[in-house]
Amino acid sequence: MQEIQSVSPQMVYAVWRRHADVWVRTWRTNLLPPLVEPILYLLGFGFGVGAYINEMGGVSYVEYIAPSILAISMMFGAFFEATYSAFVRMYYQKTWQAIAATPASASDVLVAELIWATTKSVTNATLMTTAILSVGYLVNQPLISIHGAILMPIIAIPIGLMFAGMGLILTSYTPSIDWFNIPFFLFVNPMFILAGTFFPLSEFPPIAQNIAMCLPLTHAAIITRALAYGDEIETLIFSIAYISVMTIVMTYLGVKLCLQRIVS
Amino acid sequence: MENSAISANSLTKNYGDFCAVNNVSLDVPKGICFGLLGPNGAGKTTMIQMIQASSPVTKGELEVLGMNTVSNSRDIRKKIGVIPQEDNLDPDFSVEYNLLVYARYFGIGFNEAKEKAAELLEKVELTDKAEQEINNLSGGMKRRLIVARGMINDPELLILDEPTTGLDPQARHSVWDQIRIFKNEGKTVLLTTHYMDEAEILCDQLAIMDSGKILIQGNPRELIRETIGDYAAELVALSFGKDEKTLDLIEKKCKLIDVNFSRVTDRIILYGKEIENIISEFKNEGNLTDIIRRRATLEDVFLNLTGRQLRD
Ligand SMILES: Nc1ncnc2c1ncn2[C@@H]1O[C@H](COP(=O)(O)OP(=O)(O)OP(=O)(O)O)[C@@H](O)[C@H]1O
Ligand SMILES: [Mg+2]
Repeated sequence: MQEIQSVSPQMVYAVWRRHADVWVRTWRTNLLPPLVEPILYLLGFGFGVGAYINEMGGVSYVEYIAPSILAISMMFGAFFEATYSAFVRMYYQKTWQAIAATPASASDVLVAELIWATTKSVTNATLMTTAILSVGYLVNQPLISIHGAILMPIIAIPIGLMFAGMGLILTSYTPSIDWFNIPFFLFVNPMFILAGTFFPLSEFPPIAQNIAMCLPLTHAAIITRALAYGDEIETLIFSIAYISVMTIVMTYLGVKLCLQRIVS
Repeated sequence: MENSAISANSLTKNYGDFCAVNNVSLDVPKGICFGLLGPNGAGKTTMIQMIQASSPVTKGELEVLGMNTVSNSRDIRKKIGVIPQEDNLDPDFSVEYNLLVYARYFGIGFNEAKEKAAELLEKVELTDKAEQEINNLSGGMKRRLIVARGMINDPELLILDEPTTGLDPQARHSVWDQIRIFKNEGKTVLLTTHYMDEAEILCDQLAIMDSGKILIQGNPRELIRETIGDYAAELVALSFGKDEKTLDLIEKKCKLIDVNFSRVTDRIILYGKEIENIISEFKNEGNLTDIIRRRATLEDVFLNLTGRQLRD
């Protein structure tokens, strides 16, 4: 198995900057989705559907889904970047191959991919939090607590890294870009609905609850929810432990397996 | 060795069970242009990937600019420039920005990179394209830009993997000029190409590889002289197999009087030093439609060594 070579922070930064430069070049189109999406969700589901729902999990429906869409956007930000976008860079644009001829190593490239994907989670979380706060201000109903809003970009780091690692694992395996549709269809999309995001897990039969508790998004949503409501951190020990372990395992495997694919 | 740019000792590379480079020993002295030739799949690109220390060596030793590819891979890549076989310019950036982003991987500061980029774009005549998107460039322009990119770090060793494939004569000459200028600064060039004329013109020394092994090594002119002689004569018969009899006859006689030859569809090519004497032996053999006299080329050597069948 391919060993992970030494990682140079300076080189990782150089590769990360390349991705950031691409993002900056098209910043207008990149800013739009994370700002507009939450507004649509809050309007359509929160206020629209919410008008027929008195409360969910002890809060109004719009308050229920606000932290959910934050967790979802952290997931998509990192996962999309570490799968489709990373594959384009690896396979079509041969960006990784070009960098392999410079002092940066393959390990540097992969660590930079992880950090870049995580950066997308953090920017998504920041922009969405801003949008949600603005909507809350307009309707005069604070949708997330202020200190929760401040912590969202920070908690996006471990959550983003976890999904980035999972994405790289898929990228190390995928035979083609279309293949990513399968894990998206079988894993990401069901998780999107079933991770306690649009209705509480307590509505499920016990066995389904147990399955849901194995899903990474469930724990991401538990944490963003607690932060949004200003709940005690102690209740989150299990979710924090889950995400910590998953983050370490997934990022390690993602880098290791991708190295095996690209360094032959 | 002190004066070697590249020194390979019993170098082997396996991809799984497949052996792409098989026990190759090679010494490229500093300051020359060295050519690595061979049919498709010979192992040229694999050699280059090991030399740029991005692909691990299976067996043997490899030193580049006096450094070991295992323990000093980063330091080696800092001092070499690579022009890859496949275009891998960044389509998200402009021509100039491609160079600036690449410079960052070498730790070159922004202002210095900007100066260096302007200088290189001037050199490869792309100054007025500096702001263009990559997708708007022609194949030749892309190639020239990749050559410029490979020189952004002032390398001591420039490695070019088929730099002129698919280029028009003008662009080809422009790439040749860059290689010559670079070599004249006393630096080393490693070049792979499928164009034998290019290898003959540019390379001080070359090696011909096939199926992962080096078949022959040396100065191109000397290789031609030593292996097949200076001259060649093509004895042409009727095309499309209409006169196999004549060719069969000549072939038999070649073997009999021990003349170096090679048979190609409608003709037999004879090689040797005293070519007129040899021709006179065959002049009246069967019905020849033409006799072409020419200098023996590297292509003759190549085809004789590696055979004429296609590679997959
Ligand atoms: N990553 C890889 N995995 C498995 N086999 C490989 C890999 N890279 C190259 N090979 C095989 O190794 C052999 C040598 O390939 P290489 O690319 O070095 O040839 P080449 O001399 O550069 O050929 P060309 O002139 O077509 O560029 C080929 O048979 C190729 O299929
Ligand atoms: Mg090749």
